[in-house]
Amino acid sequence: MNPIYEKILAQIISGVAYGSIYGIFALSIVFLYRVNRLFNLASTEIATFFVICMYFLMKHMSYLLAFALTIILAFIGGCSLHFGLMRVVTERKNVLHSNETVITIGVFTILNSLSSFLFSDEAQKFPSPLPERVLNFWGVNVALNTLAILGFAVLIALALLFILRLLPIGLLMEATSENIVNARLRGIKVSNILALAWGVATAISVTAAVLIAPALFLSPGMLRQVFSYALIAVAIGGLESPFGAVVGGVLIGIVENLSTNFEVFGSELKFLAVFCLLLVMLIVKPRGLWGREEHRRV
Amino acid sequence: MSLIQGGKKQDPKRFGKRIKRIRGFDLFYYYVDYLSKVISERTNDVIYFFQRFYAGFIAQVFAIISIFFTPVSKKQPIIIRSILEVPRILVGLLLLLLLCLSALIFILIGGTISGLLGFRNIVDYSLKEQIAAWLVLIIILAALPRFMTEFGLYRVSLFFCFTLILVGFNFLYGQCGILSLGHAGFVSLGGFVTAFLYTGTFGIKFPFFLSMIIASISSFTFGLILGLPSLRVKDYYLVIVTLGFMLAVPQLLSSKYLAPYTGMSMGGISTDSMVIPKILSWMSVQTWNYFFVVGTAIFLIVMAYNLMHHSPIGRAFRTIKCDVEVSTILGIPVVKYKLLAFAMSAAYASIAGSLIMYINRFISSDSYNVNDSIDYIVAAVVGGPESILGCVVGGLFLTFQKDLAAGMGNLVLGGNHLARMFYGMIMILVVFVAPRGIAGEVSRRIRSRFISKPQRGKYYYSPPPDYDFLDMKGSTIKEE
Repeated sequence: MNPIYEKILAQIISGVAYGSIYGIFALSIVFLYRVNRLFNLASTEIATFFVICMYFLMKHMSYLLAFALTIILAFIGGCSLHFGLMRVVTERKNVLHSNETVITIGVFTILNSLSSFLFSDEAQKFPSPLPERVLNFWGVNVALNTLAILGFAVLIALALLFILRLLPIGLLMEATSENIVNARLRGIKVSNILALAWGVATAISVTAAVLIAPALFLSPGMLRQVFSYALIAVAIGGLESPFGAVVGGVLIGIVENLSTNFEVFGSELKFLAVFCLLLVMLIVKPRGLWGREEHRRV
Repeated sequence: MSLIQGGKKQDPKRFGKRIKRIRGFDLFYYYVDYLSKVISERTNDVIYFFQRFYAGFIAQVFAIISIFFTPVSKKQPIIIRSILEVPRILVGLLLLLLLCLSALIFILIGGTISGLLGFRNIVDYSLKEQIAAWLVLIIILAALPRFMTEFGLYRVSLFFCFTLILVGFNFLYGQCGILSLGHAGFVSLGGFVTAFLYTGTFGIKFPFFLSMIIASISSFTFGLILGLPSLRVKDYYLVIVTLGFMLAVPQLLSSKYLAPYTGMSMGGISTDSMVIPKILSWMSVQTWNYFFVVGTAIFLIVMAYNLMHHSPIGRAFRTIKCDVEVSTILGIPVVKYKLLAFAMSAAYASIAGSLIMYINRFISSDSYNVNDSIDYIVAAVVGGPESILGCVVGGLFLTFQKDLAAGMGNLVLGGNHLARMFYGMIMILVVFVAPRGIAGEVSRRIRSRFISKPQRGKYYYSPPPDYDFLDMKGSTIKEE
């Protein structure tokens, strides 16, 4: 094979892997929006906070145990975030609608500064769960970690689709997102459903952060870039479709990696390339790849 | 005769009629009556209260003068009394003449200026009260350079710039209910464009004022470009697009293609001060800068106030905030108005950015980041997103925020992070306790203390607190 094509293929594959990480974060945002009608801006900061917790836990126990404990903690943390804070806003609607997003910005600020306070400012190395092996497919070298990330992203997207489409609890979630008052009158325990959504979304984003932490080096601001990429992935894929979020993330990853390694824009302008992709997508398909039009009865 | 017609907007022509009824010696009783009315009248707002207080102060001065010329006892024979009364009559006439003259001057000059600038309808107060309030403000601001240090003046101008940013943010968040994470991007864009044009990066040197206006126009255009694809879908898309814009602008400016032209390869652009006009050449540079920044900011804030609270555009904004579908049915072009709000707020942010660049005399690509945008949101929410007073509170918050963080950092290790954490907590608390911010809550309390009926007349300009009154979601059902 031509070495240039080989290089491009390798870049695309690593771009797909990084992109699927953005896709997982986008997934957690999309899932929360599907169930809760809430645009969660704090998702990456929550993930960073729990990864730093895991870093402190790993000083006392093994990797797997710390990971399991962190996921459980993240689930509980997400649930308690709903019961303690979001419940008042999302279930009663007695404050302004955009104030929900403002509260997530507040959570963003609090958790970001808390993790900066807890964690020393120097970036630390974070261990990878998988051995550093390189596999060879048709002459292209692919790291094992990359494949694991991609597989995990697809798995989570499929699982979420399965939950939302086929399981009875998905129906309950759909009903809750449609109209809270009606769902409650039908006997659905709305608070528990929303808290479950929060817990699942938090656990997903924390897992993604643990997967990407070895590549980024652990620091309080490590997911800042990922934060914007995840939001752009949400916009590209459509605000309501889990599959679209992953595809959007993968697209972003490919564009970013190609513009970094080939002198199209230059590596400094990789974000600009992604931003142009977003603008083009919004002009061509305003509701995203798999977005649907919303109607509301007045 | 009651002087203050409760609740009604006063006709400026009445002012003249009222003066004609004053007889020389009635001044004292007249102003006692006035004062008692002032105290007992319902007060609308904190500003309103202070305006009335100032009017009362003038009244007191006149009352003291008239006491000084109290009538002599009636026991004396009528001839002597009439002779003795001549100077008092003269003084009374003089006072009357002075009052008439000052009223004329006020109405002529003040009316012209205020009519030109739109001050007339800044609040539903009489012209005299408005002029009194403006005089107080202008005297205080004009006297500040005498009493403050250079750094203090810098602080005050910075405060006005921050207030300007928040007023711009008001169009978007307070009036339309849309969030933007990229306001710092527009601030930095304004600063950069102004710096390029002012220092002559592209060959021609523009005067500062002109470059500021060009920068604001370019920001307005950028707002339209970014808002058009995103606002027609959903408000959340604007958050995403503006965040992207926020991150893209510094990268573009410091990239290797643009850096040689923009001077970013040297770390930043530094500018020199503007040339002081010849008439004002007795001023020091700092004083001139201060007056320029404060004057521009106040002019724009008043324009914004008129646009938000006294124009059909502001009403359309608030309708959109209440319910998008209903405003569509009412015939309001929703996307157009949202775009207008966004572009206006971008232009305001850019003007504030160029003013900040001017008083700092330096700008670089690291000057603004996402944290600044979040700070603006925090300040707007804490101060009160719907009123100018809220913006002033938010501006104070922004001015002293970094000092507070630094002070905390000196006290405790990592204290600046703790300070930011407290800001977040305060913001969430304010959203729950006082959804209209500190200023909105305070003015509501004051109003409810002085007014028996809460929503009376035109003084009530904010939308009612239940925003979802048209929606089923608004009804609450308690869980067992």
